[in-house]
Amino acid sequence: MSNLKYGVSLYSYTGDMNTVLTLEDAMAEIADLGATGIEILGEGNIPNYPEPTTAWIDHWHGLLSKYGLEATNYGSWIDSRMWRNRDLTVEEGSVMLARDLRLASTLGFTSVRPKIGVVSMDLQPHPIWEAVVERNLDLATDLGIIICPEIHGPTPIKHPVVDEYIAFIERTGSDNFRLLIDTGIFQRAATTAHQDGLSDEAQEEGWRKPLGVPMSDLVDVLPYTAFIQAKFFDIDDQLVDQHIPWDDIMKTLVTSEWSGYLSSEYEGDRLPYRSLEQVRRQHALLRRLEGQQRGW
Amino acid sequence: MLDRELIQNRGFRNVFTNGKATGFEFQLRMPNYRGVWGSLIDGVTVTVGDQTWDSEVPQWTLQGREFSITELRASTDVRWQLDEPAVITVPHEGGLPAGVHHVSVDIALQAPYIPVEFQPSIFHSERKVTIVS
Repeated sequence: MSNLKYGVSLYSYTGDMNTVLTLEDAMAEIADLGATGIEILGEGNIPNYPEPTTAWIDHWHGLLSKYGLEATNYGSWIDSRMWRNRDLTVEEGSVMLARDLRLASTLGFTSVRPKIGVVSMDLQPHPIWEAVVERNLDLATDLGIIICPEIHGPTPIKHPVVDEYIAFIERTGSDNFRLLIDTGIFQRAATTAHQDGLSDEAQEEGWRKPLGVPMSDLVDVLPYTAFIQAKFFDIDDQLVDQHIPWDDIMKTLVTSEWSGYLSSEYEGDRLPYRSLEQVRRQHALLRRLEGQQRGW
Repeated sequence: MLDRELIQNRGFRNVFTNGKATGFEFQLRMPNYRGVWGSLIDGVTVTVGDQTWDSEVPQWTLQGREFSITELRASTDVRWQLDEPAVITVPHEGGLPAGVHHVSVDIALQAPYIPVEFQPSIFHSERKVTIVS
């Protein structure tokens, strides 16, 4: 039988981290869900990134052990528009990805999601992506890390971006490059959740608009999928999510016998403590749905 | 722990050169969900009461080093981390009077993974903060 595992990305706790939550508080929350995985953002959650102190690295491993958690996915960035006068070169991008792969490995992670700068409204990644990843495939193999770019709205699954990634997997034959699916692409109703920093127009384009990717498209790419970010915005008191079709997603994952992590990514309103309450609701909902699918 | 508000309660004070107040400073929490390299910072517009300073004016102190916004945009080795507030210094002869001030900021950050048409991201925040003396 396939094995679904549950985790939480610290992205969920944006705004709460460092203001009402320490790293240890966050780990205690995740462990209390009965979840086993923690996902982080390298540039967000590692003090003194990219050079954490040895003391902090020890602290991190100590907390994983104390709360019985495993390090799952590490979010990294390849900021192609790092400076105003020129784009990042392949060499610079390769150095960045290598640095994050090594740091992720030091911290015990098994996958790294590089978020690559885009060159179009439909999120075509900057063309350096392919050479940057290819130069790092041997390193990823040596470290036992899967590099997995994120399939994120407004890019659906049936799209040239995803076709390129799958062609890369097939051309290289590498086991260390796979897809990461963000469940926001399955969104079926508009959300009113506000994303700080973005204009109404940008939010309309990227987040509020339901993309409604069909489950048959997910079935097609599950063999290439290493990790799922369980993106959501709001779950009500009856454990109903108006936006993301969890029932269909769970049915698809169980029927397709996919194994791997569902890692919570709460992206709703950023009121203090709301993320903590919402993530608990999502875990209650997902466990119930998995139980129903498997007849537990 | 930092304040939930982006503008921190602690750290709002006048700055002095040779005994004369030449400006004021305050601390800002990183508004984004990740820390960024300094070159992705595109400035902060500051308003106190009815006075506004353009985003090219304030000086930035990050990780103990001071930068103009022009220097920061060209920088390669300094970061604004989630757990390290930036110190924003605004030149202003005579400083601000002690007491309560309404401070507002618009922080501009570049996110290369968002289409350039929608950049920079602007984070607005305002609150009342106090200069003690």
